[in-house]
Amino acid sequence: MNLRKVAERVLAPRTLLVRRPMGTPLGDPGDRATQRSILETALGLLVDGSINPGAIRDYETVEDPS
Amino acid sequence: MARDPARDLNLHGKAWLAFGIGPQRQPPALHRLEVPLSRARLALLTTGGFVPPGGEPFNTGRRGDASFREIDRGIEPGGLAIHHPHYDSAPAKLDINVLFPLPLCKELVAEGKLGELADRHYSFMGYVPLTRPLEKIYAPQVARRLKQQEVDAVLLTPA
Repeated sequence: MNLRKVAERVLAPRTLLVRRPMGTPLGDPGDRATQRSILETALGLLVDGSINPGAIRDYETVEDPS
Repeated sequence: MARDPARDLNLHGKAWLAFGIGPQRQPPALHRLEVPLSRARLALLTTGGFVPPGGEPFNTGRRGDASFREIDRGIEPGGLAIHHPHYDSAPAKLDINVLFPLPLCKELVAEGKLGELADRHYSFMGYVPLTRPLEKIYAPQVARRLKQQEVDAVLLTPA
């Protein structure tokens, strides 16, 4: 399933696209560092003034802009 | 009168339509967060099929289940059952934070990074081939309950 296409059609106000297996969008069990990073990156979209309606951001890009 | 584009879709097509996989919808409204995250009230909503103790199991049969379960903020994560036949729920059973990050969000609240959690959170079971009850009944019910709790934001985590 192409999750980007799904996200483009769902059109949530803001989407953080995470390349993860289904059922584990925040990371693997016990991987607290990754879980925290994904969660805080997602919540960060709420206060990102550059976000437009329906914006889709890749987690890898947002987390490591370089 | 404009013809409803959903009218010609088969059951499978209508299922996707619930997720917007069909006729393109208009861009959503984007409400800016009116308070800093450190003062915001957050609710969680997942399609992971979580059921609290004593809750009615989701119907995991062919017709799916469009209803939802309400999950109290104080629930012990180990007390939640998972009824969802269409993803591997073993990781979430090991560590609920992989899908329904209630404990992680409590950490953020304790650290002052997040204001507070709503009293009640919500789980659907993502297999919903019959979408009309979802669109007409259950999703509006959850939206009303979220508004009643005066949440500032909702984190959606799909399974």
